[in-house]
Amino acid sequence: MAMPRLPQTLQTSLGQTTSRCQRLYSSSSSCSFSTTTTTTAAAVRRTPLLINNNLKSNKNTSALGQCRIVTRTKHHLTGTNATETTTTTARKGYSSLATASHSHTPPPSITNANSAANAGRPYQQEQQQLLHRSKNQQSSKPIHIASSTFPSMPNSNLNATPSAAATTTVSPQSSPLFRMNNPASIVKQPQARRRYSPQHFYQNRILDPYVHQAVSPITLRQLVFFGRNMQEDKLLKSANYVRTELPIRLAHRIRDFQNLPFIAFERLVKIPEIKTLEENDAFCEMVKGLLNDHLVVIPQLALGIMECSKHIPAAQIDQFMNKMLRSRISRRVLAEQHITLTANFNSPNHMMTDRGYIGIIYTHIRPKDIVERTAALAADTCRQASGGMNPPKVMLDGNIDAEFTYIPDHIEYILYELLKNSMRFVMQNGKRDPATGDLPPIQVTVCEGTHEIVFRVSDKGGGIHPEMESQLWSYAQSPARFANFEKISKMAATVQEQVTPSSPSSPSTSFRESDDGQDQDDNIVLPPPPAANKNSTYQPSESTLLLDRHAPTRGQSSQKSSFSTTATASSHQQYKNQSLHLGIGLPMSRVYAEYWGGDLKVFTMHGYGTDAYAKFCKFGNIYENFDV
Amino acid sequence: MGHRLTSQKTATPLIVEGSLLNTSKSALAYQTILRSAIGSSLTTTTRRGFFTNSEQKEVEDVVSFYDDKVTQYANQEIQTVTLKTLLGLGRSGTTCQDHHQRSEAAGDLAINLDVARYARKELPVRLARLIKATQKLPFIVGTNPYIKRVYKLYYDSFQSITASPEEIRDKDDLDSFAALLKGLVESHADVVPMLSQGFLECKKYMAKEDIKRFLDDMIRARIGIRLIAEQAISLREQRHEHEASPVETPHNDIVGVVHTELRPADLIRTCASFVQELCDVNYGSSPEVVINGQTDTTFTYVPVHLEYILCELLKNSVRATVEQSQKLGRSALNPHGNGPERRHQESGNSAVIINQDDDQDVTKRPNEFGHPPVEVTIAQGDHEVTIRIRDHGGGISQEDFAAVFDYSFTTVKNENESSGGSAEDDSPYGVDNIFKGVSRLAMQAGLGGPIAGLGFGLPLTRIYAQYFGGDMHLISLQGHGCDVFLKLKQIDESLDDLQI
Repeated sequence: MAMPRLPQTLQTSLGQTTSRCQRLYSSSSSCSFSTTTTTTAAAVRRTPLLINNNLKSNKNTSALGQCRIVTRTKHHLTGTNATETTTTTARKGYSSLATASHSHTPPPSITNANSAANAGRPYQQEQQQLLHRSKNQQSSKPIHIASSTFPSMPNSNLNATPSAAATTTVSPQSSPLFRMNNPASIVKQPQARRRYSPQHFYQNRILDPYVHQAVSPITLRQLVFFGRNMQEDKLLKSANYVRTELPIRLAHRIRDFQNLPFIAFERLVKIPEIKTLEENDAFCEMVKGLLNDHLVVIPQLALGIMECSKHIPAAQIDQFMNKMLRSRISRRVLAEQHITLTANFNSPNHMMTDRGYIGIIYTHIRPKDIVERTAALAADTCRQASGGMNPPKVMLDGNIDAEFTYIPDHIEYILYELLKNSMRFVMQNGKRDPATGDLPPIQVTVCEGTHEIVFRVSDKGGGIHPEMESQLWSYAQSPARFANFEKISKMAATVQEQVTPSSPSSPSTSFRESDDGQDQDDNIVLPPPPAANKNSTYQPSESTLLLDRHAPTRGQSSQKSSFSTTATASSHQQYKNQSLHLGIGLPMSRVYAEYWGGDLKVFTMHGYGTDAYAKFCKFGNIYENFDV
Repeated sequence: MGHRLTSQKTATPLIVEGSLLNTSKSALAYQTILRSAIGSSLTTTTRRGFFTNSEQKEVEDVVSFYDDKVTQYANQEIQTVTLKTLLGLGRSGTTCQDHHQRSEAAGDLAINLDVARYARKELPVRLARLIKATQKLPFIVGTNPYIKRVYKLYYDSFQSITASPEEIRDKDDLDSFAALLKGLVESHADVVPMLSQGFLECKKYMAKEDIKRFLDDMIRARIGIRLIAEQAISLREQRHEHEASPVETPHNDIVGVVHTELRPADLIRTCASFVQELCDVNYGSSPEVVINGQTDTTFTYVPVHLEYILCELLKNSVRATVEQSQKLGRSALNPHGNGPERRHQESGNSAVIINQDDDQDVTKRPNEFGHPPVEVTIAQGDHEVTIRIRDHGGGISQEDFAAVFDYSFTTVKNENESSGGSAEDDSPYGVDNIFKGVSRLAMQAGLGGPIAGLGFGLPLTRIYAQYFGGDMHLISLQGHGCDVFLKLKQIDESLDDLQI
C-alpha cells in the first residue's frame, strides 16, 4: 500500500519495525484474515491521502475498505474533491473485485439461519419467564461491531515502497504466536488457505440473512443464571448462542459500513452447529484467535480518527467511535464469556470452582477490594511515570462492603482510569500540606442506592480548564491527544494491559519509545519513564507463548476473566509504558459504564479539583446498551 | 411594605422573589427584614381568600382586550442591553478594576439618565411581551384568579410606564421615574408564588411541558425586567447618597445591583446562618456548614441572585441532612446512627486508606446533634467561580430525581387542599414544602413565615444560575447525599457580550 506521507514518529521507527513486518508477511499468506483490522483503521487514517494512490487490482479490498469508509463518513461533507475521487475508486474496486473473484460457497438460506439462531439463544430462553420478554425481539437494533474485520489483503501484495509497507503492518500478528492461535487447522476453512479470500460485491447476499435478524441483547443477570452449574449441554448451548449471535452482530455492523470485512464473518458463518465438547474447544480456539486479531482495532481507529478529524465533524466522529467501541464490547463479552465458561468447564475441579465467578462475571464484587486493587495499580503507574514520586493517598469511605454483580474488567478499567487521572492531576497541581508535605488525598466514596452503586472519585488536583472540559468526552476535538497511539499496536482496553506485569522476565515491548513528550495535550508533563523499556523490539517471550488458555492446570486464583487476562498478555507488553497518555481513557470508560446501564459523569471545579461519578447498575438486569 | 427602605443606608435593598438583600447588615437584622417582607407575601399567596371584593371587581374591569397598545409594543424588538451599559461603563470608559472611577461613574447623572431612558423605552416592550404570552394561555387558565391577578399586575405596570413622560430630561424626571419603578417592583414581589399557585390549580388544563415552558420563559423574562428596573432605581439611590456625602465612597464595589467584589464565602455564611436558624425552628437542631476551598475568592455578580440560589440550595441540604439523621437515628451519642460499622485503618495495600472515622475530617465530623456538616467548597477558575455544596442527606432516589427540576406544587397543595403531610415525604426536593412547618410555626410566633417566598425550589434556582451564563448540576448519591455544582461566570469577564 502506498503510504503517501508517514507521520514523523512512524518514519523514524521504521528501522525497528521492519523485521517484525517481514515476519508478518510470511504469516499473512497462511492466515489472511490476520491483518484485517489493521487495514480497517489504516483505511480510515489514510482517507485524505488516498486519492493520489495508484491502486492495483490485487489490493482492491483494501481500497474498497478505504473508499467505503470515506464515502460513509464523509458524505456530509459537500463538494470535497476527496469524496468524489474516492467514490470513483470504490467503484473501480468493486468491479475489479468482481472479476477477480472466483467461487464462493452459496449463502445459507434465510430459514436455515433463522432456525439456527433461534436454536442457539440459550440465555434468553433461560430467562424468558423471569423477564417476561419475548425470545425474538422484534426491535431490530443495528449492531456495529467495532473490531471490524475488513477484507484483509496480504500486505506484501501492495505496491508500496518497503518502508511504507512496513508501516502498514505495525500489526500484532507476529507469526509464532499467531500460528499457535490460528484455528485454521482446527476448523475446516479451505478459504483461509488461499492467499487472500475471494470475495466480491455479490456475495453481499450471504450477509443479508444475518442482517435481517435482530440482535438478541442479554443482561448480566441472564449471563449469571446461565453460567451457574455449568453442564455439558448448557455449555454447548452457550457455544451455539455465541456461534449464531456473533455473525449477526458482525453482520449488522458490516451492513452499517456497507463494506465487508468478510473473513471473520465468513469463518463464523461456516461453523456448523456445535454438538460435542471437542467441537466446542475448537470453536473457542477460533474465537480466541479472532479476538486476539482485533486487539489492533482501537489503536488503529484512534489513529484514523486523528488523521480524519480535519475532514469530519467532531460530533460525527464521536458518535461513530462510541458505536464502534460499544459494539466491540458487546462481542467481546459474548465471546469471552463463552471461552471462559468452556475453560472453567474443562478444568478438572470445575465443580468446586464456583466461588462467585461465572465466566468473566463476578457476583461478589466488593467496592473495597476493587478500589484497593485499582488504586494500587494506578499508584504504581503514576509512580513509575513520574520517576518515583509518591502519588497521593486514596481515602476510601462510604458503603465499602456492599456486594454486587458485575464484570470486574469493566469496573476496573473505569476506576483505574479515574484514579490515574486524579493522581496525575494531584501530582501536578496539588498543593502539598505545608506541615507534612503530603499531597492532598483522593477521596473515593462508595454509595449504594436502591438500584445502583456509585463510586465518587474526588480530587484536589486543580480541576480542568473550561476549554479542556468541553473536549473531555470527545475523540475528535483534540486529535493530537491520540498521537501516542502511534506507539502501540494492540489494545484490549483492559487494566491488565496497562499495568506492568509482575514478573520482570517479560519486558518486551513492541512500540517504539518516543522522547518527544507527547503528553502536552493535557498539560500533564511528567518525567519520562525509566529507560529500561527503551527500544526493545518485540520478542514474544516464553511466558506469552506458553500461556495455555484453557489449561486444566490453571489455578483457581486465575480463573477470573481467564481469557481476557491472557488475551491481553501480549498487548500489555507493548502498552505498559506508563507515560503513554492515550487520551481515550475517559470516553472509553464512559462507554464501558453505560454498557450495562450505568453512567459516568465528571464535574470539575477549575482552580480546585475534579469529581467523577461512576454509576453501575447493581442488579445486572439492564440489557446491553449498544445503540447510541 | 415601607419597611423595605427603612434600614437602608449603604446599599440598595433589592427584592428578589420576596427576599431582601443587604450584605452589610447583621445577620439578625437581615433575617428579620426578610421574614417580615416575605411574611406578607405568604399571607397573600397561600390563603384562598386572596382577593378582596373590590380587587376582584377591578381585575374584571380590565378592558385590556380592546387595547392594541400592548400588541403594538409587543411587536417591537427587544433591545438587549449589555451589563456593561447598565454599569455605566460604556460611557465613562473606565475599566472594571478601577473602582474609584467607577464609583464616580455610578454617581454620574448622565449614566443614570442613560439607564433610566433605556428602562423607560425597554420595559414597556418586555412587559407587553409578557402580557401577550399570558393572553395566549388557554382561556380557562386565564380565568384563574391567581393568573388573572398576575396578568393585571403586568397590565397595570405596562399602563403606568407608558403613561409616564416619555422624555427623561433631568434629575426631577429621573426621580419620579425611579419612584414609579420602585412601586412597580414592590407590587411584583409576589408574582412567582402567585403564578405557582395559579398553575397548580390549572394543572389539568395544560400539558406539564407547556406549563414548564411558560413558567421558564416568564421567570427568565421577569429576571431581565427586574434587573433593568432595579438597576435604574439603585443607581439613582446611589447617586443620592453620593450627593449627600460626596467625600465618603464606602462602597466602590457596588454599582447598582452589581457587586464587583462579591465574596461568596461571606454570602454563604450569611445564608447559612439564616437557613440554620430556620432549621432550628423547625427541627430543633441543624447541621454545621463548613466552608472551604478558596474562601478569599471575589468576583463580580449580582448578589441577590447568588443569595437566592445559595439559600435555596443550603435549605435543601440542611433539611435533607436533618431528616436523614432522624431516619438513621444519628444523634449526639450515636453519631453514625444505625449505619454500617465505621473504621479507620490502613488498608492491605499502602495506596488506600479506609477512612470512615468521621472525627478525623472536619468535613465529616458530626456536630453535637449528630448531624454531619454540609460542606461548601469555593473554587476560582480562570473564567468562572464554582461552588460545590455537598451534604450527607441521603441523596434522592432515582424515581424522584427525574422530577427534581419540575415545577412541583405539592406544598401549596398540601396547605390548601390536602393538608396532609404524606406528599411531603414523597418528594423531599419538591418545592416549598421544605419548611412548611416552619412557616406555620413562625406565623404563630409572630415572626412571619419566610419560606414560601423562597420556596420555588430547584427550577427557579437553576434559572437564576443560568441567567448570566452559569449552570447548576445536581448529583444524587442515593444512600449518601447530594452534590450540587454551581458554576457562575464572572460577569465582568464577558461584560461586552453579555446581553440581558
